[in-house]
Amino acid sequence: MDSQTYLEINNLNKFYDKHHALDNVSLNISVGEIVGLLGPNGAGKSTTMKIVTGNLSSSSGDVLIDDINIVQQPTKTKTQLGYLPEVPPLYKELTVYEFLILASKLKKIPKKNITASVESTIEMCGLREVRKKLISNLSKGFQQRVGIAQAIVHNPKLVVLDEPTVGLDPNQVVQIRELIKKISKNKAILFSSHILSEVEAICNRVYILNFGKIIYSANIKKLTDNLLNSFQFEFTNKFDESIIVEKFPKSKINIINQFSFSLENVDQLMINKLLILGIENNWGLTKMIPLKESLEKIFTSLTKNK
Amino acid sequence: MIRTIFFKELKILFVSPLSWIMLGLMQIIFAWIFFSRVDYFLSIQFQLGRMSSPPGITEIVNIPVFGVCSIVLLVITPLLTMRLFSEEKKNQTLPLLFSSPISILEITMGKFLSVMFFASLFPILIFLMTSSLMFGGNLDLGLMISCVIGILLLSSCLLSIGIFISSLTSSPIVAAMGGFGINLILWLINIASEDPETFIYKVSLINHFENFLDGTVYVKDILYFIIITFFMLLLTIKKINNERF
Amino acid sequence: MNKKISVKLFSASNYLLYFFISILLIVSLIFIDKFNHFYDLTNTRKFTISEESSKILEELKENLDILVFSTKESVEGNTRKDLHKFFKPYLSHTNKIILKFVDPREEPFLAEKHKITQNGEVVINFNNQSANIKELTESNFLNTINKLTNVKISNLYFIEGHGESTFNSLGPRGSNRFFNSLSKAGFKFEKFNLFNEEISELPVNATIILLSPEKNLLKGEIKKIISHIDLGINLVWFLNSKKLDYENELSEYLGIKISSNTVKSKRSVNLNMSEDFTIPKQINKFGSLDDFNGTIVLPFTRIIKQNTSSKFNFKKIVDLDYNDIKNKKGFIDEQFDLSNDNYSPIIIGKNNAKVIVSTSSDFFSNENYGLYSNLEFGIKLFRFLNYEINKIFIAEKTRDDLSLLINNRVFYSSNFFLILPIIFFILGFFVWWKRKRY
Repeated sequence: MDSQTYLEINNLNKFYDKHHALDNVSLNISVGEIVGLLGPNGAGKSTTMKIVTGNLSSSSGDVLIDDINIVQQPTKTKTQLGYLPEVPPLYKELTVYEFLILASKLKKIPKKNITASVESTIEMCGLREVRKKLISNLSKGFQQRVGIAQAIVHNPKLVVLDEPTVGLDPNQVVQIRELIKKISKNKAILFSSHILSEVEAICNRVYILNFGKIIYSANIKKLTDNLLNSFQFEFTNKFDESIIVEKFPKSKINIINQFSFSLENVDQLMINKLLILGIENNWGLTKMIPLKESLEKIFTSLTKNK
Repeated sequence: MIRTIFFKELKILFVSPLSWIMLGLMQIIFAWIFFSRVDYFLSIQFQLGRMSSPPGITEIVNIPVFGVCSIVLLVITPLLTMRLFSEEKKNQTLPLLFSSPISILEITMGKFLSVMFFASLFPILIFLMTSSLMFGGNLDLGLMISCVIGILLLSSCLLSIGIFISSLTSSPIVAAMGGFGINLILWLINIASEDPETFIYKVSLINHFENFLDGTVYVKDILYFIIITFFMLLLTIKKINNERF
Repeated sequence: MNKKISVKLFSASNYLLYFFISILLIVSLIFIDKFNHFYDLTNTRKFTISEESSKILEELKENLDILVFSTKESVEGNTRKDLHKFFKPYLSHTNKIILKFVDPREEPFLAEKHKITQNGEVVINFNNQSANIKELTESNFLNTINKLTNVKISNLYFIEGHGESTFNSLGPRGSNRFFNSLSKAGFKFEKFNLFNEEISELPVNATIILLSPEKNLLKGEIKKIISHIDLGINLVWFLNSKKLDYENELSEYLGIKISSNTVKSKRSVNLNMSEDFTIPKQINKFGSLDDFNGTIVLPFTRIIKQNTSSKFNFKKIVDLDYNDIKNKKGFIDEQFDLSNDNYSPIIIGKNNAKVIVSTSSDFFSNENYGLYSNLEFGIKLFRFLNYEINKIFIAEKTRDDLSLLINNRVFYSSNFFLILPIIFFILGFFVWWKRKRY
């Protein structure tokens, strides 16, 4: 166990009557990391997050925050926890300022620090112009920001965000992403989405969930690093795999079908070689695609037809 | 922590104009009853000396207002409690509470005490209003205090029932309807049970209140209301806890 | 698979738990009904019973059965709820009161048995005796209980040795039937020999009975009786039917002069009775004779004159018709005043001691007298030996909240509350308007 691991989920199971919603889910997050939880709708992302934040009980398995079991010491663990569910939990009759004061009190911020915390959170989330406004009078984007604000006002070490950018316009989405990145210093952030590009953009690591099981986990940086200089080649005619293997013994070849394959760590020399090969053998190169969306491919290939 | 919830609920109550309208309407009703009873008393005042055991000012003027208050409470308490848990469910604000270091007991007690506070304004208003007669005659303060105690206990009971009903649904309207329904049944039981010897009299809610109107504070009546309040709150806590399953 | 079973069990036990809690709730609600104690917060302590009342209730050794004859629907002021209200403080003070409501329309025979004449009438049963109360007040209620409960039942001590009739003698002239009824009513019987008993041995609630002795008592014996009376012990002196000289130390002590002749009636012959039997003109009902409604016949009545020097208080029980007396002359010769003097039986009292000077002991047994209520009269008279002469009087609690004056202060302070709703509405509007702008 990494000494810096802040959130640890071990063999989490959840049954709704006969339906096995979560099947032996295990994951961990360290301070300073933004970890993404990916999966199609119904995969169990929200369920996992609800269990971590004390909104749902598990059938078996445990959740440890800073090595403390959340079931045995709920009060202690929850002071370091901030949660933004799919629907932000906003009391619409209050103003932004009143609401954040309430959230501070609920999270047991010491009285003398409340005003300072609220003010700094308002600044950080860009809520200065709307602080005196009633939450019901705010736009969706601002409401989402207030939602994030209540999750961080007490400066928790663990922040859990459930699809925080859903329903926002592109500008707002960018703003939220910036905000998340900004607050991620000294925090462990668990963040769920079904928008892959978003996960790619923000997260350090990703877990893919499907039908309650973790089917894939990877470090994004490593993934993208690996995917740098990877190309997919498409031909009109069938190519000869043996020639490729012979010519590029060190490269990792991924055969997609009879007409296309991908290569990792492709440099200019290799491209030239391939072009010549293609012309020589009359394969008929039609496309050369840089593999930036391979996460999507991984995702779709892992999650479809199951 | 109970204080946080308590003040938050009170704030939400008092920034809503509906609460002020409710207060105003109730006060109109009480004042109307009060003044008509004062009128009545003044007209029969001189006959009282001739009666063998005459009722006093307090019995004729003050007690009926408290009596009306108890009936009005049957209508008001569902309105007060309807939002308590059902609105949280509807607006999905429960996750904020569940992910905070606060127990369900504290949440329930905070909400309960906030509506208790609001409901206790009614007997206090009545007490103050009827005490104004003190300047012109003698009042039986002990009797009035007994009525206030009775109203407070009755409110706590009705409010706890309302909170429980509110925890069962995510629609405040349904919660209010449920509350009205239950209170209507309670009222009908009260009307049906005239004979003190029957079983129905012994479990009827409002009949246990009527002893307070006489100035007699029975141990069994106090226990009755406390037990019901306790059980209803217990059931509420259990129900909310079950939301997590 | 194990997990699935445990999940199912838990949700099943949830329903069981709810069911169990509901049953517990109902049972506890019924159970607390036993806690009848309450705190009376009223100014005048309307529902708190007086000390005399609580004393009487505390001394109750047997159950007091109270039947309230009240219809299920009544006018306001007299409903079952109001009647129940009356008994509230008593029920909370003692658990010996059994209260039962009866609808006279549903139980007409019961109502008739108890001679119910109005709605809301109460019948109190204690130890086979019953009494009706028509107007339910604390005074009436307590005095009735007091009458019935007879806290101190007297022990009867019968003097022997002077040719007295024995109290267990049989036959038409025997007092057996009367004393049988007395013993059923709780009186206890002992024989008492004046020479063998010490003064201090008689209990304080004792009554010495002289059952028509034929011979005069000895001086020493009379002295003993007098010293007993001085100590508060009662005496019932049954006079003989024969002509006797009753001038002795006892009558001197009691301050009475008893006629040696008995009264002969003119009218009794018309009623097929011996002339020795007189029917009194009037019975003065007081104390335990309060609710005596029968007629009696007096055999061998004597005239009893009250001496001016008597230290006793006199109570006349019966009054005879002057014109009915046949043998007036003998009495006038003995200087009796036929209009003003007393006729036996009389009750006289000094301090705590009560003395009944009565006609012959056969008086109380009814065998020869057909429809007359001598037996009942006798029992009630004997109850008087136990009955406290002072009736319990519960003072009406003083009220000072019966008048209201509308002065300026009342006017302004009460009218403020009329304006208050408007203030509330304004505040509500203000709050709404302010928040709306946010």
